[in-house]
Amino acid sequence: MKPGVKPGVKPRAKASAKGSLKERIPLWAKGIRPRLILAFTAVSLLATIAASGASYVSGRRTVLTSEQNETIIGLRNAVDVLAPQLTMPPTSKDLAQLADRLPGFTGVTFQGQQPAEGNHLDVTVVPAELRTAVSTGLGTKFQRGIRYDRPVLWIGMPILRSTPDGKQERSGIEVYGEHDLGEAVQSIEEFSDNGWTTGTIAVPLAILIAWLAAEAVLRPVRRLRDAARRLADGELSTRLATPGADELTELAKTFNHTASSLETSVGELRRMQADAHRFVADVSHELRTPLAAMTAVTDLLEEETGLDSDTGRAARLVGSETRNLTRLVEDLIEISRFDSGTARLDRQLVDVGALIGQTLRARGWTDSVETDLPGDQVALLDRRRLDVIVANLVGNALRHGEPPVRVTVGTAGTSVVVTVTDQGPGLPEHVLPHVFDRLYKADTARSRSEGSGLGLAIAAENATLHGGTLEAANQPGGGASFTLRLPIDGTTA
Amino acid sequence: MNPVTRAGALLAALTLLTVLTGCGVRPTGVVQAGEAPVGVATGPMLYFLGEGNVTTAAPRVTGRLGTVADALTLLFAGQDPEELASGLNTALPPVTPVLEQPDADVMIVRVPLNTVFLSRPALDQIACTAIAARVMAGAGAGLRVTVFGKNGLAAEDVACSLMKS
Repeated sequence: MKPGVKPGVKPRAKASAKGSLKERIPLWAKGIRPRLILAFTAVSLLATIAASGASYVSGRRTVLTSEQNETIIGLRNAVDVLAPQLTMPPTSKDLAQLADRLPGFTGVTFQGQQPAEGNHLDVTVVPAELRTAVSTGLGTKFQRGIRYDRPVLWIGMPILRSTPDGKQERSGIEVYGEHDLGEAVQSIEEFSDNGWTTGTIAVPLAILIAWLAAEAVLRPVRRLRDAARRLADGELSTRLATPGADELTELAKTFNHTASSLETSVGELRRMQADAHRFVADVSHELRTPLAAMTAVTDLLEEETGLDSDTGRAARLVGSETRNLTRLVEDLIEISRFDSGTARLDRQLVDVGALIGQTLRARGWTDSVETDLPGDQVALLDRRRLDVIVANLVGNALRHGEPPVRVTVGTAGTSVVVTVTDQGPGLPEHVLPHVFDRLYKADTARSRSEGSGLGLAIAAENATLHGGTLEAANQPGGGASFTLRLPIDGTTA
Repeated sequence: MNPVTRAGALLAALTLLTVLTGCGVRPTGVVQAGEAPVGVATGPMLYFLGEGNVTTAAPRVTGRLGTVADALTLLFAGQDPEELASGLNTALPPVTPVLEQPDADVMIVRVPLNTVFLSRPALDQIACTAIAARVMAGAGAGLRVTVFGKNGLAAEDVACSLMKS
């Protein structure tokens, strides 16, 4: 079953097709720098809009209020001064004269009538709403409106008369004024223009600051990344400078701490491993001398004792086990050379087919192994090591697999390929990954085998030393297959 | 949309709304803008003495209210025939006073007579006429009337018996 089509699990594609805002952000905008810049720009734009909006609104209120108050109070004071000199009841001429003497563009009515003569404000253009309010109330009133596309302020006030004891009543005279607010609006617009000017300065400044801030954040992040990369590459002594006291410095300190603990533990492990290797090498060497003596003695005993006697069987058993022990010790010495890094290659031009033929003949396997050894496969190899590899692979196949065991030689690219196959049951799945492990027993029931348990491990080490590979697999038709690839010219394949 | 982006969008929309609605000068309805001017009249109110020397108001028709000084000048000029016919008297001698108004709340009347001729009723006539003219012009009653005779101060802050000060 393919992943992603499991029942009950929603396919991922469906969720992203709907597309939340977060998923729709392009990849380049997800870095720290673009995000900081976007945020700073948004904030400065918003601040500019808000600040210029606020200053515009308050400026408009200030300008309008002062303009209106000035006009209204000016007109009212002028009427206040002139009223005692006005003839009662006024004639049309009196009204016109009053309108002439008042500041601004004004019109005066008496009992709803306005003088016909003179260039005065035609009171009928004043909104009826304001006129009604003025002709029924006792106070000064204004109304803002639009006339000929220009903002206009209309002022209306009745002139009152008073008794000596202060009772006030309407006299029937009303004064109206019209004031153009165009200039006020112009000065208001200067407020918003100033706001936008500020914005055009502030936004690039914000972007610059965001850039610098991002740089200041990113520089230590980049250093941290490089250091982590070096650490991953095995430079365990990597440390970061930790100036300052910010969060990134904290992170750098943590990194340094981690690196130093790692260095300590890895150093400890390496030391322990080296100790173990040295111990194995020392023990093996120490065992070699007594084993040589034992071998000589058991050989002698086997020759001297009779074939069928109990003593003879015992002597043969001891001799066989001593040989096994000797092989194990030889293999251990070989392995410890690899572990200590003292194994050296002795490369020379080798006819691979001929060498494998010699190997098989020397061990008396010529009859039990099928071969396909062309005589033109020449490579730069270590003779002894190739012999060890082939002997181990073929020996392993003969011991654990079923005949016919087959050895073939060929080339693939710049590698010479040696394949050893058998017709046995093959390698169980759980064994395959461990087949080159040291002392790994494929068959746990069989505690003792003829091999040392190090043969395949030594073969693999030898292949690696050549810069080649050794792979184990099962053939489609059954049986195990070991494939050795070694570079023809001695360079790494 | 997650809550953060929703809040951001709301904020931006609000800001934009504020800015857009704040643009320009909007028309308004009728707005109150203080008191109306006061001060038209057919003439000032003069104060003479009626029966039993009681100070009595007598509206004089001149066509307009005029100033405080105008009213006092008319008062010193005495009754018109109509007022005489209705039996009104005056305690003021027929002289021409010198009127000074150093500021709107102070009226100084200089009468070219010895202060002994400025009786209590005469001072009352002066104060009532001056204060009435001021009240009718829309200002408050707080006018300080000071009268001088030839030989010095006759009375300071004269009150009108007909009005509450």
